[in-house]
Amino acid sequence: MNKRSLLFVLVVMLLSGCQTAQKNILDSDGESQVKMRSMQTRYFETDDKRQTLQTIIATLQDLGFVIDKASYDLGTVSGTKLDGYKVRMTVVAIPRGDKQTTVRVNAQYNIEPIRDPIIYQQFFDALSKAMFLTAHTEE
Amino acid sequence: MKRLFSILILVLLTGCAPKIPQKALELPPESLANRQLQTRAYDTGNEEAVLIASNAVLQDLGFNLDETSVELGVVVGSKNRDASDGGQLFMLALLGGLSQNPNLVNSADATQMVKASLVVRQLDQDGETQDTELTPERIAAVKEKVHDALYEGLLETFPKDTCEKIARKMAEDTADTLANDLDTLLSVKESPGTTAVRVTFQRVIFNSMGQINSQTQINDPTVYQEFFEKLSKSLFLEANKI
Repeated sequence: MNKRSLLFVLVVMLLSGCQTAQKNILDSDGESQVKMRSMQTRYFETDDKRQTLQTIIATLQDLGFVIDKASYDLGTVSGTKLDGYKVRMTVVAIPRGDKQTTVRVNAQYNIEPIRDPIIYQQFFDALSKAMFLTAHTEE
Repeated sequence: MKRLFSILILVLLTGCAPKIPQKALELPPESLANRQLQTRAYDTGNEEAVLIASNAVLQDLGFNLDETSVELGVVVGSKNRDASDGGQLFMLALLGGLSQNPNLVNSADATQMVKASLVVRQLDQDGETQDTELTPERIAAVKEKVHDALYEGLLETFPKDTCEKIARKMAEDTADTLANDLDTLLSVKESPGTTAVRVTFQRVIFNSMGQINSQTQINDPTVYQEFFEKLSKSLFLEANKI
């Protein structure tokens, strides 16, 4: 195999790596669902839904997000951050039992889902600081 | 050859997986300053009145409302406007002419989408909130009192049915005034408490081919000052910095 054909094969391989329109409809490749869910979820020792949602909104604003949508009934808040790039984020807070609240986040960066646990950790750090509560990874 | 090869791979790789800046969701040091810039506090406990006044100001500024949530005090609006800049157009036309690239001028800023998101939040919730809301029941009670007092007072000088007519008319007028005009003013002025309003603006600038030229949050203090001046006027209240 000469150099030119090797180059050709590589380019074709890389290009086909980009054409994943079908796979990206349901994000079927990438991390396992369990792993993604665990990096996106934390538990807080509070039963105050309103306070939790208001703190989530304030934290998103502090992080430079503009709120797009919010619903108290469903406990959802969505926001967009524009800083040369675009991050879209949805946060859901639902009561868990009588004493806990589950906070689940998901986010995309430009046209990619965010799969980096550090990014989610940063969000939960900021949120727990604002809630004066610890974010538990365990139920 | 080798160099071309590695450049190609680099280009393709970065095209595929743009990495998120590692500090994208870290609290930036300027977050406190931005919060102060974007927030004002009003001396009223009536969140809803503040929300309605904010809606009116957003409409005054040409925004169409996309989303509202009363329970969480959120209002979101956006507008599309011209963003063309004569100087930039001229420079790109000149460059395009020099480089034989007539399409270059199409990459100039053409339109912008401006988005405003406003969140209203009660600050001190510990204080006992005095109930000053003028409910239909309360207005009806006032109406009855006015009617009875007038009727009895007039009975001495007028026949019965005239007394009834005058008393009913006066009572209805009083109830109307209470329900329509005084409600907003009274409830804003009389509700104890503090309501904080935080507004954030962002904008996306597109070129005439519909591609994004820039997407940023607006942090220009004059924009926020003007917004809060308008809101204060529509609320009859002074805006306090927090």
